[in-house]
Amino acid sequence: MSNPPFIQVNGLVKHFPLKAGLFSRSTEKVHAVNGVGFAIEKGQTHGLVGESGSGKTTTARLLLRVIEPDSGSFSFDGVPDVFQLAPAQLKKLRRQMQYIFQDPYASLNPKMQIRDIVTEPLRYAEGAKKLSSAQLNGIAEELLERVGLSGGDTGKYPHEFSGGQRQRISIARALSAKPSFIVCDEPVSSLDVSIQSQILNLLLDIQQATGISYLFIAHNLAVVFYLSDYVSVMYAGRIVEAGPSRVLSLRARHPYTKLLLDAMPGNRGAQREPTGDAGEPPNLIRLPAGCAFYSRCPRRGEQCAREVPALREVESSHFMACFEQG
Amino acid sequence: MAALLDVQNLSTRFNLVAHTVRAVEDVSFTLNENEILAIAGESGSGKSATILSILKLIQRPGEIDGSSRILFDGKDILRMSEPELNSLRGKSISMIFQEPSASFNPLFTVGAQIAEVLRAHLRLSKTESLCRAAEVLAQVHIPNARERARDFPFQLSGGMLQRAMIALALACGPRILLADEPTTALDPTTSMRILELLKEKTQGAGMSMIFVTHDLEILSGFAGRIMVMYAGRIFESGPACSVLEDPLHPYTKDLLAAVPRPGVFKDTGRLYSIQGRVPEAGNRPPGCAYHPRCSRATELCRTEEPALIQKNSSFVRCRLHV
Repeated sequence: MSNPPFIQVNGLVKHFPLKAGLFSRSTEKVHAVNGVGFAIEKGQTHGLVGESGSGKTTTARLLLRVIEPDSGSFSFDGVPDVFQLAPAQLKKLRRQMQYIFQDPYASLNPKMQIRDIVTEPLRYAEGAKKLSSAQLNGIAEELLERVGLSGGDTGKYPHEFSGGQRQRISIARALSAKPSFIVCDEPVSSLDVSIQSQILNLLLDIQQATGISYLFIAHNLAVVFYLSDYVSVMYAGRIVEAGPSRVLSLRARHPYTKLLLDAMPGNRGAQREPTGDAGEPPNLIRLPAGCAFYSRCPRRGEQCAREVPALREVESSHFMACFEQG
Repeated sequence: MAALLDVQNLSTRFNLVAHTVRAVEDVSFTLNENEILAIAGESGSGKSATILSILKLIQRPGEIDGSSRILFDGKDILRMSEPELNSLRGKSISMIFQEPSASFNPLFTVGAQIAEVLRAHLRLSKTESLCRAAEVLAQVHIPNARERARDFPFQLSGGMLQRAMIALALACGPRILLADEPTTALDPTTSMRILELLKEKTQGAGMSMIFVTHDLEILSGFAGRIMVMYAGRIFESGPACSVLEDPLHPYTKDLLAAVPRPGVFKDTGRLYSIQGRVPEAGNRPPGCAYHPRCSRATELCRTEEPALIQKNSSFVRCRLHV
C-alpha cells in the first residue's frame, strides 16, 4: 500500500446549537457540516465549491481548529489526528497551516505597519528564535518582493494599498512561517478580473517553488477547476461529488454539479438539459430526511425523499452521492 | 427615432483638497427603448460615477461639468429642479445596487419599504400600497410573496433580497433601470437567475436598462450593447457580440483573456495577466491612460491621447485602429 496522503480528513461534522433565549434550552441546531472527508497530496490543490451556506468555510475553519468539530479526524503530515492535539502541541503545528481570507480589507489590521503584519506569524510562532527588528525587516522585504510588491513598502500601512495589493500582503503573511499547507478562502472573489488572474498566477508560482498544498475555496467554478488538481462539490454540509478537476469539468454526473456548471457564464445556455429549479439551498436547521438536493433536483425519485445517498465511486477516483445511475 | 436617454459629453469630477479626480471624462452615449446597455470596466474606471450622474446623485465635492447634457425624453436631467428630480428618481428612472442587504432598512419589513415608494410616487393609500407591494414581490418570482412582504430584510437570503430590491426598483414601472453590479455579491446560480429576471423585465415591461459590471463574461447573451470604460473614458463600445467575440481594444482583449475558461487547467498554462492596475484618478499617465499596462503600446501612445473613432458598428479609442 502506498504512503498515507499528506492530509486526510474523515467524517468531519459540525452542528451549531441555536440559542432561543437567555434561559431556554434549545435542541435545534444548524447542520453546517455533516460528514465531510477528502485527502490532499503534497504540492497539490484541493478545491471546494458550492453555494453560500454549503459549509465550505466552516470546513476550513474546523481544519485549523478556529472552531472545534463535533466529530471527525484530520491527519496532517504524519500527525495522526490534529483534532486530538493538546493546545501546546497544536501551537507547534500552527505555523505549518496558514489562512488567506476573502476580504483583504477586513483581514489586515489598519493600525499595523506592513512589516509587522507580514512577520506576525513569525513573532508568535511557538519555538521561533527571537529575531531582531532589523532581521524582521529584512524578512519582510524579502516576502514582499516574493509576492510582487516593493521591498521598500515595509513601513507603509494597509490603507495605502489597493485590494489586489492587500491580497498580496495576506499571501506574504501566510508565507512568512514557511507553511506546508494554506487554506485559501475565496481569495479572489472580491477582486477585479484583471487582478484575480495576477493573484491566481502568484499562488501557482508559489506552489511550484515550494511544493505547498492548498485547500482552495471559491464559488466560481471556472477558477476552482483552473487552480485545483482535485475538486469536491459541497451541498448542505456534504460532499455530493468529487473527482479530478478535468474529469469533473467534463463528466460531472451529480445534478447539483450540473446546475453549477450550467451557471458558468461560458456555458450558459450551452447544454440546457433541464437542470432544475435554481431554487434555494435547504434550511440547515431542519434538513430534509433524504437527499438535501431533493427539492431542486430535476431527476428526483421516490428513494431520494427517504434516504440520503452515500458517496460512491462511479469511475476511477470520481465519486458521487446520487441514486441516479448518471 | 430619438433615444430614450441621450448622454452628451458627460464629465464628472471630484474636487479634493489635494487634487481633482476626473471620474468621468467626456462620455457620450445613448440608450434606446427596450435596450440593455452594459458598462464594463475595473474598479475606478468611472462606471458607477457615470450612472450616478444620470440621476444627478453626485454630491459635493463632486461636480458635473456645466457643458454636460443628459436628455431623458428630450428633457435635460442636469437642468431639472429638485421637485422634478424627486419625481424622476425611483419612478421614471430607478436604481439597484450591489449589496442588497445594505440597501434595505433593517428595521422595516420589505413590504413596508416597497409600499413607501408606492405611496410617495403613486399616491396610493396605506392598505392599497401594502397590497401592491406583495404583488410586485410576486412579479419577481418570490414564492409566498404575501408572507415574504412581512419579513424583515435579514430573514431573506441574498438572492431573495436582491429580487426584493429589483421589485422595489420596478414598483413604479420605471422607463429606465440603472443596475450597479447587482449580481457581483451573489452565487453563480443565483446570479444567473437574477440576470434572467432582469432580462425578462426589460423585454416584457418596455423598460430599458444600464447594467454596470466588472465581469464581461456574464454579459454574453444578456446585453445588447457593451461600453468598456477605463480611467473615466470610453475605450470601446459596440454590439455585445462584437465586443465579446471580436474585441478591438487591447484592454478589452486583455480583460477577456484574464478570465479562466472552461477546459483550461493549471497545467495547460498560466492565465493571461494584465500587469499593474488602474491608475489613480488623480494621477493618470499622459497619452493613452492604458499605455503603461498595454503590451502593444508605442512611443506615440505615451504622449498623445487617441480619439474615439468608429470602426464598423463599434467605436474604439486606440491608435492601432487609426
